[in-house]
Order: sequence, then C-alpha cells, then structure tokens
Amino acid sequence: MCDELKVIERVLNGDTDAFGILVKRYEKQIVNYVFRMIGNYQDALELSQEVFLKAYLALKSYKSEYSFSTWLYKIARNRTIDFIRKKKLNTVSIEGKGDEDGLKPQYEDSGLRPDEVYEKKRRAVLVEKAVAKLPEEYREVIIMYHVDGLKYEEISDILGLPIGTVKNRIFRARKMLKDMLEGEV
Amino acid sequence: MKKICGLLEDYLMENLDEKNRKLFESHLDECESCRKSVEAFSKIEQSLNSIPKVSVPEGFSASVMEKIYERKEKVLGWYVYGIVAFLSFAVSVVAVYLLGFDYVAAKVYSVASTVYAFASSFSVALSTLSGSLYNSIDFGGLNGVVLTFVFVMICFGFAKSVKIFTREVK
Repeated sequence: MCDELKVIERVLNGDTDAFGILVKRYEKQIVNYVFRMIGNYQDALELSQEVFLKAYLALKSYKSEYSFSTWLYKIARNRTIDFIRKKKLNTVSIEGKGDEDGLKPQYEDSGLRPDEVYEKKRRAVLVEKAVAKLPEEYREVIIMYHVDGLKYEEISDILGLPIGTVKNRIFRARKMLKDMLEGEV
Repeated sequence: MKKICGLLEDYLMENLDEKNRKLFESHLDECESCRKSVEAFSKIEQSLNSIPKVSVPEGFSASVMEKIYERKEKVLGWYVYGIVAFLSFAVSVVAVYLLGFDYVAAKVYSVASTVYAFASSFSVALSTLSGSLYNSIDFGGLNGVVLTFVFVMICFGFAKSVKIFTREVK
C-alpha cells in the first residue's frame, strides 16, 4: 500500500513509465472482472485498456483514503456499466466467450489431474452460465467476491453500499444460483 | 429448535457473533434441514471459487502504456498549437502597435497576393498537365471509370499522408 502510494507519487511527478507497475499489478483482476461482466474477451481487453487510461488521466484526483484498487475498480465498474447499458446487455453470453471470429480467452493452468480437470471444467461451465444469467447487481458482487477475491469491505467501498447490503446481495445471488443449479453441481 | 433454525440466513451471511455461530454449528448436528441447506450453499461457494480466471495477453500493459503516451503527445500537440496561435496573435498586435495598421495591412495584402498568385499558377500548371495526359492517352469507354479510380486513389493517398504526418510519435 505504502509502496503503491510511492509509485503513484512518481507517476504524478512525471515518471509515466511507473504507471506500468500499477497496470501489471492490477491487469489480471480488472480484465477478469470486465470479462465476467460483459462476456466478451476482445471487448473486455479493450475496455480494460480504457479503464487504465482513464485511471492515468484522473490520477491527480485519486485520494489515498481509499486503496488504489478500490478506486480502480470504481472506474472499471462505471465503464463496464456504461458499456452494458449501451449494448443493452442484461445478461451476458458465455456460450462463445466472445465473438465467433474474435479473440478467445486463455485460461490459467489449474494444476489438476486430467480427470479432476474434466469434472471441474464441467462444473465451472455450468456455474459460469448461471452467473452470466444473474441480474447485473448480483453478478457484479459474485464476480468481485468469488472470482477477484475481494473482501466485503472492499466491495462495500467500490459500490458505496453498507457491508450488510453487500453480504445480503451475495447471499441472494448464491440462493439464485442454488435454485438454478439444483442437482447439477 | 425453530428459533435456532431462524439463524440460518445470518449464519450463511456470516453475520453471527462467535457465540451464536457456535450455537448454530452445534445445532447443525441435530437439524437435517439446516445441515442440507448449509451443504448446498457450501457446494455453490466451492463451484463459484472454481470459476477459472482468464489470463491477460503478454503485451497488455505495453499497449496500455502506448495508449497513454499517444494521449500525452496529443495533449502536447494541442499545447503547441495554442502557444503558436498565441504568439502569432501577440506578434500581430506588437507589429500593428510599432509599425501602424496601414503599413501592416499593406504587407499582409502583399503576402496574400503572392500566395494567391502562386496558387493560381500552380493550379494552371496542374490542369494543363492533367489535360495533356488525359488527351495523350486513349482510354476509350473506360475514361470515366479510370479517372474516377485515379481520383479515388489520389484522395486515398492524400488521406494516408495526412494520417502519417499527423500521427502521434511516442
């Protein structure tokens, strides 16, 4: 955190290259969040680049009362919601995981045995599809909590909601998923 | 018993204090309904945690930085235009103040006339050249098509050159 503030200070003092350190640190989380929200890998990469560009341009307005990641997520969330509204995506398509001719996402190596991989993959596909069907406000908390591994407090800061509401939303979302996936996982 | 079952949602939302959490967990040994609910939610949680993460392409951060530099150059370009415009205006004001309006106006008119004369002669030269070329080659019925194609290619070349010369350089 302290180290992060130093990097931000360097960027604000004119060391543009130092911003690359922050991009490297958060690229995975932001790309995963955007991808799970919109369901298209190519668009997710472009949108994530815009998020970082916007963060760079607005860096002067960053106040250290929040962590940098919270601030970055706020930008990513606003940009993603704009994108979804423009495209009128109420739910996302994970079927093709992107355009047919577009860039296909590469998944990280899970380090599991082939039989474990098969079962895990089957379950993951079912869950991914179910998550994609969740309404936007439930989908985002599930992605932040389970995919990006954010804490309740962080999600609460990003969304500007009390922690109780965040916990409640996550619980409701899990309940919806439980109903959707009854007997399948 | 029923009262403790009512703690299920709060237990799942991690809202219970230590004492109630322990109470509820010991209740799970006796209540099958609560136990099944907790197990079902736990399965969902495990599945959610197993959603694979997508990896980020190798050059992602490099292309972000490239965009940032492009943007910086663009902003710098506008500053330069602004400074040039301001300096031109300031020089004009000083010139008018020092040399008098009539003198400056006469000079500006003379420069404008020279530029106009040059543009006119260039235009005449160009039309003469293109006319000669047009007349010297017999395209037959294709004349219109060929000329349109050539015109489009010239426009394309011009647009490309504008793009090249106005591109922000890192």
